[in-house]
Amino acid sequence: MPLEMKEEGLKAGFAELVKPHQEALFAGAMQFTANRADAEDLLQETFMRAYIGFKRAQDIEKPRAWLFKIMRNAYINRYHKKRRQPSKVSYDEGLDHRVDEVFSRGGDDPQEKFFSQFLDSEVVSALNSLPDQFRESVVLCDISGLSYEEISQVLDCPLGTVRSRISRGRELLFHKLYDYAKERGLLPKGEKGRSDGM
Amino acid sequence: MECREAREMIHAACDGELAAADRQQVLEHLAECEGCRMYESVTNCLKLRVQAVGAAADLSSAGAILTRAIAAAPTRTTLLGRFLPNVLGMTTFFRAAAALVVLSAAVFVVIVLVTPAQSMASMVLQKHRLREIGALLLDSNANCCKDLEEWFESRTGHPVDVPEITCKGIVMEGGCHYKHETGNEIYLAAYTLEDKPVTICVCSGPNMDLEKGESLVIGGTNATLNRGKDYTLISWRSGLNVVALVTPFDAERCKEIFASIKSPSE
Repeated sequence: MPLEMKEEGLKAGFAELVKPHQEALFAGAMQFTANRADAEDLLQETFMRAYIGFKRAQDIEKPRAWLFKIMRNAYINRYHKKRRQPSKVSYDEGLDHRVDEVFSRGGDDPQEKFFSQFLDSEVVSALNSLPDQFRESVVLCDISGLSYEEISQVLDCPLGTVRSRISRGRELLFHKLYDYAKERGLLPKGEKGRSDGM
Repeated sequence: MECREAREMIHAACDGELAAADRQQVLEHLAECEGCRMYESVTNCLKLRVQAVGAAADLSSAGAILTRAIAAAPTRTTLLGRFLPNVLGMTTFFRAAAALVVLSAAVFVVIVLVTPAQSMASMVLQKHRLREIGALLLDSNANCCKDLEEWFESRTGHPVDVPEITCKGIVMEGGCHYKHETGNEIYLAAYTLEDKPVTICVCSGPNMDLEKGESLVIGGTNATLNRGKDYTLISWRSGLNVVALVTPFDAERCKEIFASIKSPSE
């Protein structure tokens, strides 16, 4: 088979492999970079790297995890060489108190009211303020829709670690949103002031 | 079940990642723990809110980015691969390995087969004055001694030990004569022809033979012709001796010279 035809066949096969995951990847890239232009660059770099890998071996068993892993590595290499250190905050302290503070006196459906008052950009900002290990787990799970098993492959960590990072990541995200709401006076009316000094 | 354990499971349940048995345990815990029920409700709402962020993003350009990336993807995987032919669909690694083998073979040929002969020829042509050649041969540290060993061995199939030869060598006016303890002898004679240096080497001793090169017969004498980059060498047997004529001329001129001389052993 002529080289050009072989190359065209590879490109078509690669496109077929990637298309079902391209939007999930783009959504993940948007959260990783927090910037549309950077996300587009990251996505293009991911596709190019993936294509080079695809040319070496076309039998990709789990393409979604494979693609996300390539994107994560590209992101770390290109945008984020100096990664943020894991937070040393204890996530256990004060969570119940804050949940109670926000939702016990908020009237009907207080949870939905609380979370719907934030702009998307504010949620993104809170997500981006999380330490990397928690942020990427939450983003991969909630934004890109990866399973825990896929996330463990992308992050090269055990399933239990993924589960722990997601739960702690969401708790920390709640703390961030709470702080933001408190700062902006967005807490439900009739709520008690914060008394635990967190 | 402790609340801490239950809450981690609540996240997994919220993500549809909890096994049935674990899910049952969590439900039992929730039935009796108000705090965890609230925690579950908040977790679900938070997940929905984060999902909404992803859903709100305009991702329609992902397909165009994929098309662009594929179009821009290099047809060769690496810079190395770009310069290597894609033979039999080999991967870049194997192509690189094959190229390395070919390159190594080429270097081997140049070093082992070509360099000594050219080096010797260069020495003979440039240092055609016999006193200088003899002086060089007497210096066991000179590279030419090693060259001479390889040169004679490659052409005669007979190993020579230049340091021992040179220890017994006698530098003669008009020529050099070396006698080895094994009985082999080397005689070098040089003269200038048409302002070019011409050297005759005579090697005598047992088991001397020449098999390499182009065979030719001149005046009834069987000889072998070798062409170097800057010299032509004709060698022939004369009794037990091997005689070599080294000249900077082309093959035809070299044959004329060969036809006009007589071997010192004749």
